[in-house]
Amino acid sequence: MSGGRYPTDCLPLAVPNMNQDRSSVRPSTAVPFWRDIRVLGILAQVAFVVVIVVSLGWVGNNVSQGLKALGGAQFLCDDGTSSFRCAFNFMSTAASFDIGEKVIDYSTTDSYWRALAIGVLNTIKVAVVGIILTTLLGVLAGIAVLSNNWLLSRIAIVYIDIIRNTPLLVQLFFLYFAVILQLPPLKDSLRPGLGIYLNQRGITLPWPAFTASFPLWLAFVFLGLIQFQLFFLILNRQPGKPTNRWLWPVVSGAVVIAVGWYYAVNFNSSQAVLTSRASRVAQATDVLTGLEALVIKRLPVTKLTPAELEKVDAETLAEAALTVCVLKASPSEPNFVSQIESRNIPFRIERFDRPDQAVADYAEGECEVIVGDRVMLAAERAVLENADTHLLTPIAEYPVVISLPRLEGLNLVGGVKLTPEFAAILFGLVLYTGAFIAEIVRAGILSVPRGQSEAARALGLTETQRLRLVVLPQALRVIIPPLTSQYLNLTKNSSLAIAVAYPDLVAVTNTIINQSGRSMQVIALIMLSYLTVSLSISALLNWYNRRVVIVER
Amino acid sequence: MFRKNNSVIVALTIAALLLVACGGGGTTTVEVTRLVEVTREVQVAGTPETQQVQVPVTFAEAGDTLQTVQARGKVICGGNASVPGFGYLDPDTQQYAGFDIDFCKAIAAAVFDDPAAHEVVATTGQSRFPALQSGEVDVLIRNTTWTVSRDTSLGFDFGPTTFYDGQGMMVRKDSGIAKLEDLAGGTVCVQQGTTTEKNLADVMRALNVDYEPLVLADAQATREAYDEGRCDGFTTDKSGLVSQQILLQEPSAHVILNETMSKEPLGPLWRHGDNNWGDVITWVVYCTVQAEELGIDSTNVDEMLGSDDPVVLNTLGVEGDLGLALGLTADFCARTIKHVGNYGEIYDRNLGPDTPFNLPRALNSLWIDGGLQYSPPFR
Repeated sequence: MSGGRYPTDCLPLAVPNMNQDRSSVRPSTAVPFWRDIRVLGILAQVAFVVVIVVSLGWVGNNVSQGLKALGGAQFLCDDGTSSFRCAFNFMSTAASFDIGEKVIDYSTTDSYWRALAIGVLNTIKVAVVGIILTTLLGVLAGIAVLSNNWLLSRIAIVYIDIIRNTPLLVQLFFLYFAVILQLPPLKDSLRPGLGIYLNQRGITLPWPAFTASFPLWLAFVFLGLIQFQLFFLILNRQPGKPTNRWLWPVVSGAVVIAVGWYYAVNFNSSQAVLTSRASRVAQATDVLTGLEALVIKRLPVTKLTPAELEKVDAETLAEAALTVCVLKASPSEPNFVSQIESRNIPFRIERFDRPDQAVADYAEGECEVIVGDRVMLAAERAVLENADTHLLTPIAEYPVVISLPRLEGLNLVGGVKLTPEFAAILFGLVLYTGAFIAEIVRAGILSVPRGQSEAARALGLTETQRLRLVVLPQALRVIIPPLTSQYLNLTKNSSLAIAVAYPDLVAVTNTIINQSGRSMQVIALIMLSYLTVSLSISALLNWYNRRVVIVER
Repeated sequence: MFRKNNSVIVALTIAALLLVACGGGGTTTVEVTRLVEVTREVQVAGTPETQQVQVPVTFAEAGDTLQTVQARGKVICGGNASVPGFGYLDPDTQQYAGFDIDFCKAIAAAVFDDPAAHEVVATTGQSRFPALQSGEVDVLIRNTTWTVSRDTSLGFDFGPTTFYDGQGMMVRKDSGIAKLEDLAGGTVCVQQGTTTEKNLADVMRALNVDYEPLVLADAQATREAYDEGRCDGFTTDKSGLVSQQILLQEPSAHVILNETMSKEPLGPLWRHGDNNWGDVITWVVYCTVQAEELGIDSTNVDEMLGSDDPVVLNTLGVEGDLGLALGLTADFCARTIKHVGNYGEIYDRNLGPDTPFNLPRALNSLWIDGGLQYSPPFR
């Protein structure tokens, strides 16, 4: 122990000896720069940046070498030169391929851009419907795992374990080839009633079709609702709550709606049929009776009833059938068909893209009746030879007609169809992501302190109320962040749709790549599309998350 | 402290070493000048001496595929694994066999004198072009149709057409469909990303037929969906239809319509910028056609080596040095015929009357028989 102020035998090694004279402090006791933390920190950051820049540079060099090897053909401009700014010019060429399912109109002459749009819309359709359904399934399964019912919780656990541990592609193949395509073929469709057809080509449901008189009737519907509301308010003002406070408003509203329907059907002559005078339709009381008489003359029956028609053999029936020409995807078809079906008139339909094609067929005698918009038919009749040998008669137009599916040739026409491909990808994704969401929900529910549930039970809340009002609102704060990831997973997993023939974004763009050869540009577009969709979903959920987050004091 | 600093330094050193090792990528084009020493014994009456000829050979605009292949010791072909008759991986023997595979073997025989010096990489309709573009395979011999867009904007060159085909439609016999117009309102199964998809759309548009396409990823899934009854029709090249028909549950319940929807010339292809490799592939294929025309097959090649006909001698490389200009040996054609056979043998072995396909030669006959197989002269 020296005589200095500081004890020397308990000083750390790196500290210079404070008792020594300043002039004799050795420089080696200062921390050298290659051990100095600040210098090392800066060096590490610089090295990291250098590594990143060099890696990106190497990747970029690779890409440009590859582009040079491919040649300028990838970036052809309209004038024959080649430059990067013309990288997407090829997307304006005609697509020349068909797409099986489309939300908006599309034909082979549309550009690749439109095909890309179809793909994006199909993916969004799967994503939106899938997210809604999978949330329902996941929440129910998550709650079921925690349920006191032994069977229910076992079933949920088995479902989660099996689905989570098998690859999604395998599940999709199984669902499509081993389940959905094993449904009976079209000719042996299951008919569970209500006009529904269930077969391996999908499930076809009757669907309402809105005709041109629908807006008129809609106005009457609104009037009826206003009427209802008015009556309701007036009656409720009276003291003592009269016992018939519902009856009058409902009846008056219904009367208005019915009047509107009658008016729209009978006084709105926007639909008409074009027939030749020879069919003597004019001499009948109305068009339909006239057509009925026309068909009855060709058949060995006196009336058109199912019983009588059964006696006629199929060939005679097919020859006697009324041929009807109509425009494609026009509401005239379900309107007219529902009317002649109610009279049991056998018929056959020919569909055309344009009115002049339909009229050309009619003029040749291929069809006996054209159905469509009155103004359009009048214009077409004017250019026919012997225009006044053709008769234009207005027919009733119901504002809403139910389009019933009907077997015609190779497929069902009418109604709305849910294809097996859409069903396969939708249910495959919903089942798969639902298992993951179930676990997230279970984690969220378990994160709520037990005291909350005990307090809820002490207050006398039922189990459902406890879940709905106490536990789930608090659990949401834990559930939402990982839920966002699962929604994004579902959206991106929809790219497997090509395995089940559903034309989603990746499927359509793969065809574009194969036909145009520009893989780099198209893949950039795919990435951009998925990025946009994913960012939108996560932005939405982040906003919702901020709303339910725990407010810290 | 010391340990923490140490690990940072070690990590940085490793990263620096990795960068140095992997840096400097990219390909460079090299003009190759080679001196080739040729020793040949010529049995000519009166001059029993061996001649040594030094021939300087330059290959203008050569890529380095031939050198790469020779250095590697085998040629890598992009092929099919699921089209019986053309490119099929037998699940029992795990061996590739087929019409296209035989041409791959022919190239291997020409370059290495060993038909087994090849490797087949199975590719799908989507992965075949990126596989060739990236250099993963040296040549693509895989039922690929020669079109202008593939020849130009995809950056490929096509060899001689080995198989003239056309697109057809298969339907069930009991569906009552006799022509394409009967498919109105129906569904058609088609494989994605092939010329089939585009041809189908074009033909149906021209006929004004409304149909619903069902597009699947590979040939097997397409066939299965059709077999289950999901589609009314199945369309692909007629040769493909014939080979897929065998794999259906009830082959005799289906019929291929007579109508041919398009022209589908199938042949080998390679990357742009490699004329030398292209010449190798082209002349190996023509060698098989020329050999059939001259009557040379795998059984009589050795006898033909002693023939009097100068055309035969030139083809087989006994006279002349045509093979050398390709960068191969002079007898590259003789090697090919000996190991793999001529065009007729290749056809009969894979698609002939003894196979389940029994495809008639039709357009694939020699030009002297009225077909389209015509080899330019070997001189």
